[in-house]
Amino acid sequence: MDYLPIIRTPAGGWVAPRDVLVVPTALQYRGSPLFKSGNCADRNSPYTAILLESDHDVRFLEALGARIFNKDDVRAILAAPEFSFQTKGYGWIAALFEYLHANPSADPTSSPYLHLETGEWTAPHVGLMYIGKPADIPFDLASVNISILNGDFVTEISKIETARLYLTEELQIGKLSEATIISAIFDRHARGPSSTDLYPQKLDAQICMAHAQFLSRHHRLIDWDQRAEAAYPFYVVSQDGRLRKAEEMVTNKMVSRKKRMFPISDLGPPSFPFLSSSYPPEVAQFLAKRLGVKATFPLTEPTAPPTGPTEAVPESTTLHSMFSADEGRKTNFGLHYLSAIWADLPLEIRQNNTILQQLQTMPCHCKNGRFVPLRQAFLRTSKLAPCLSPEMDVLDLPSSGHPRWLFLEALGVTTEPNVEFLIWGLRHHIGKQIPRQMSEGYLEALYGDLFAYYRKCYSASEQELLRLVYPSSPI
Amino acid sequence: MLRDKFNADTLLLASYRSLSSYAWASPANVFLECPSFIRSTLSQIPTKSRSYKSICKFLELPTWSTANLLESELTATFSKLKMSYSMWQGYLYNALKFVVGENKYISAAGPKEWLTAILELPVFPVLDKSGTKRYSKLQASVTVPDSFLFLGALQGQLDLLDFGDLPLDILVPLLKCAPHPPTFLSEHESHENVSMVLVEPIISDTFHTRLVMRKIDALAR
Repeated sequence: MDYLPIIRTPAGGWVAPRDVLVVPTALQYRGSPLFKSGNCADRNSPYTAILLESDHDVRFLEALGARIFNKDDVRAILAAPEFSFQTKGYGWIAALFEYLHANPSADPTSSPYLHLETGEWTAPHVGLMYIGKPADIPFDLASVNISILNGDFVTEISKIETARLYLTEELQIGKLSEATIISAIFDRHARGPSSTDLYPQKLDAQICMAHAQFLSRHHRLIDWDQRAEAAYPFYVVSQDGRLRKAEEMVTNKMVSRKKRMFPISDLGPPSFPFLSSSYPPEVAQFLAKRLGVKATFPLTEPTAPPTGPTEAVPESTTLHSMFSADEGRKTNFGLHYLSAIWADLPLEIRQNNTILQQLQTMPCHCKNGRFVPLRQAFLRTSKLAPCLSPEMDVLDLPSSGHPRWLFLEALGVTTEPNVEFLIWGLRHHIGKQIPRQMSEGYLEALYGDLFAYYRKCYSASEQELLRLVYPSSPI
Repeated sequence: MLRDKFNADTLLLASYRSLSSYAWASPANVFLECPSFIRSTLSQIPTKSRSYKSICKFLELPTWSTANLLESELTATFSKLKMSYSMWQGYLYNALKFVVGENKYISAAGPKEWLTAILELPVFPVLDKSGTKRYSKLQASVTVPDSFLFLGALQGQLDLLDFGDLPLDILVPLLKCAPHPPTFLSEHESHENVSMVLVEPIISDTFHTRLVMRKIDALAR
């Protein structure tokens, strides 16, 4: 029976059932087959496509020997690499999705039938794919392997409910949320800055900076407990433009000099791992508070050797090395740095004797060219300036009379004519020739200031106490 | 704190009193009320400078103690002055005279240990039989020429304690405290200890004899 021309074609002719390809209504689009007969799995056969107005006669035609366009055909067509979706309209794809919603097994899921906002066509499940995105994402989502479908594409698909359902439920493509982006950012950083199969785009300074900005802006959405468990690195940009792990970096303080603000790192050697000053202050603060960027360099040397590579403190990141490295540069960068952070340090650190004692031994550059421990140096303040002489170890600092340097008092620097200063004066005399004829004036010059200082320093009650302790004390 | 710094850095200017010279020292090594003869121990500079005196008071300088310091003063000065016999004579004489002047050191109960040690020092100037000037400790072979009666007759025959023309009698009580006392010439002045024989001159004085004879002749005319 199948060879008898008993079926009338749309053109008015008659064909045998075996030469007919019956296209069910579900595979029709705007009065034409969704796929041309040439796209059929059995492509060598010259089928005549018969479009059914209803699927009522499908079983009857099949019984007569007609070929029915089925989901295997669809799957085969979709899986063919040469099949181009780009030439189809969004309406056609909506019709396809409508069909696939009813016949999900027809989808090989490897076909690039999704149009991205970047213009590319891609298959589902290649990276993270979403419908729409939050506003104001300051970086390319491709950096975290997130793709967004073309807006017009989604609009067209959404016109057909079943097509939309296929997209959102079967393919599970939903709206992109900030939380998803946050998670993607952390996952991306966990795999290091280089490109990988999963992340073809490597991290660069611009992207990392934008990532940090985004995290800072949406920090309330971050699950910090989960982050703490993961303990993955997060990459930030250093002042010299390189990417480094956040925990290796130190906040770059802004300092004011001569009515100009600039990062403290500008005064130091470029090798120091300061966070880039391009980070907005609130972002830098977020990085320090949450992602391991240190507020300051360690103020003391580690007392015990590191127990493992993860605990090692890089040589260049201690304050001690900051002072040591300065011996060739003579900029007193360590002091500049301390002046920038001192006021922000907790009181228990500023009053910690161990820390203070270590800092007091730091070698500092003086105007006479010598490097001396901090506690032996003088600061040219207005009170001390008249008493200083060129051979004295006066710190080589700009605007040394500025109040920002007064913290050096706590580190043993002499800032006013105190006992240390007067003692220094006496010490200085030791090297000089003693006059052959001793005079009252010479002795007054030697000891007058010291005696006056002691008399002035002690309050009336202290003087009384001193008399009890030292009955012969003149004070 | 101030005292520590002064001690550590020798920040106190002090004087060698009898020399009018000065040095930087630790307050612990500068002494108050030093006797005038000292040459090797530092003392507070005598001055009207109020600041200097006040600082010295505040530093609580130790006070000179003959018992504690004299031996080291003598030893140190001897090493400087031994080449100058006459200077050392004068210095040691003054030092011993100072000790005698402080009567408390010489008591009936006998000398203190420190004084004994000083009197045993080999620093006493001696003019020996051959006329050589040397230093020796006090012992019986050294004679203290404290009598002029026999001095002329015995010079060149004994080793004499030699303080030049300085009067020795003031030192005798002190020298007698020595653990090995010297011989005192004055002890031989009594008749019991001296036997004398008058003899005629053994050398004829022809010159004076002739002179006398001429005068006799002249008177006889």
